[in-house]
Parts: sequence; structure tokens; C-alpha cells
Amino acid sequence: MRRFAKENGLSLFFATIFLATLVGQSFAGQHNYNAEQAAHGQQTLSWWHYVATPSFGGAVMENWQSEFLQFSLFIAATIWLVQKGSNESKALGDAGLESDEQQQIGLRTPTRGPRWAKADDIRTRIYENSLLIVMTLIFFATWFGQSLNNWRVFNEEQATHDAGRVSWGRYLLDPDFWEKTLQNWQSEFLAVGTLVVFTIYLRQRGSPESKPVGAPHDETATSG
Amino acid sequence: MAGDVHPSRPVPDDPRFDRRCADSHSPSSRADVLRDEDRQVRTMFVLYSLFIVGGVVFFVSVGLTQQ
Repeated sequence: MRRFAKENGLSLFFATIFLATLVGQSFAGQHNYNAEQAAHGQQTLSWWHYVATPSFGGAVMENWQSEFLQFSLFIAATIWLVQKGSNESKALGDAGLESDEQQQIGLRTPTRGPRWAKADDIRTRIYENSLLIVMTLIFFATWFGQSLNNWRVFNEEQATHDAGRVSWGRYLLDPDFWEKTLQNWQSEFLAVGTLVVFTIYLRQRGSPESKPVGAPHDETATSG
Repeated sequence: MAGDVHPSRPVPDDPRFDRRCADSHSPSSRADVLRDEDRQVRTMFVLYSLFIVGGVVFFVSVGLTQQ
């Protein structure tokens, strides 16, 4: 058990703080939601009923979608684009899909390598893009989830102001949907761009997200 | 066959492989170690997949439910 925790510490750590912050968000959201309900003389909700509201669902989904968009774009962009001096970039001459030899495909796949990498057929074409495919699918699924939940919230607000309800398709064109979407995207793009650029000059000893402390600033792709 | 992790996968011979495996003297114990390693990394992959699939299914269902 101790060995399991040690060898999976990174994913266990993030799983733990993910669940803790999600639960924290739900309780804080419930209190905020109930305070507004009470201020308008409306019924308050239990925690369980609150987590099944579009208000909570929209808040969760709009953050999830932006994170998965960020990583999908980062995975795709770093195939073709490089940044001299950055630890987050490939070496300048490696831009592109790289050779089968570099990617250990077909006969070059190690004995314990994935079977679909050894196949060197359509299965390999799928498997060699599987990370980007899955991350992009999660992005679209969560963006869809955001749109549905925020559409419900939008129509509830419309109803309280005696305004007409709108269809889901109409909501996708509404500034409310795009404000909630773009406010998340811009922060992700700034954060990932900052990581790309700051790793040129700044270091964190021991982190694979940083170059070695003594690495030259113009040296690219040299994880510590 | 003793020593196989999977019927189609021979006993590994990667010199960089985990020290635990190198310390295992018999083919069957090497296979046991490999199965354990596979299971460990698969556990976290399954856990995170459950987070994602569970979350998306739950919140899309909430969004689709008529209020």
C-alpha cells in the first residue's frame, strides 16, 4: 500500500485536492445560492439538491471545458510550434510528427510497448493520436455540458424578470454563453503561455517542468 | 506460458526495467511483478476516467433535465 502511494503520489495528490475543492465549491456555492434565494423570498435547497442544479453544473463544466481545451491545444500546438529556450518546447529541429524511429513505431516498438504501436496500421494511426483525441472529446463534452446548464440558469433568470425563454441554439449565440466561455479560455491561454515563456529564464530545482538550474537560457527542451 | 504477462507478450528484456523485476529470479515472479505494475498504473487511469465520465454524464443529465 505504501509503495502504491509512493509510486502514484502525483495522481493521488491531484485526485485528493480535486475532490476536496469540488466538495468545497459545492458547499460554498450552496450557501451563496441559498442566500440569494432567501433574499428573493424563494425556497432554499439542501446540499444534495444544490449539486443537481444547473447553477452548480454550469460552474463546474465551464471550468472543466477550459482546462481540457488548454491541454488539447497545448498538445497539438507543441507538435508543430517551438519556443527557443523553453522547457515546454521540443528542440527546434524536432518540430512536426517525428520519424517512426523516434516514436518507436512498428518493429522499433520495445517488447513491452503498446500492441497498437507495434501494429503499424490503422490501429497505430489512432493510437498515436489517442491523447489528443480523448482530451478534445472531453473538451467538447464538457463545453456541451456547460452550455446546457448555463442555458437552464439563463432561462430561470429570464423567467424571474418576466422575459421570454430562449432555445438552446439561440443561447449559444447569446453574449452570456460567450462571456462565461471566453473568461475561462483567456486565463488558461495566459497561464500556459506564461509557463512556456517563464521556463526560459526561471527555474525550479527538481521539477520536470523546469530546465536544470544551471542550464543556459537559450537551451531548449532540457527537463531537469 | 510461464513468465508471460499476456499470452501475446513475451517476458520483458528491457534493461531499464524496474529493479523489482531485476531482483526477481524466476520467470513466474517476473511476470507477477509485471502484472502488479500494470495493475497499478491502470488503477489511476481508471480512477481519472471515472472522474471524467461520471462528471460529464451527471452534469449533462442535469442540464438535459426539464426544470
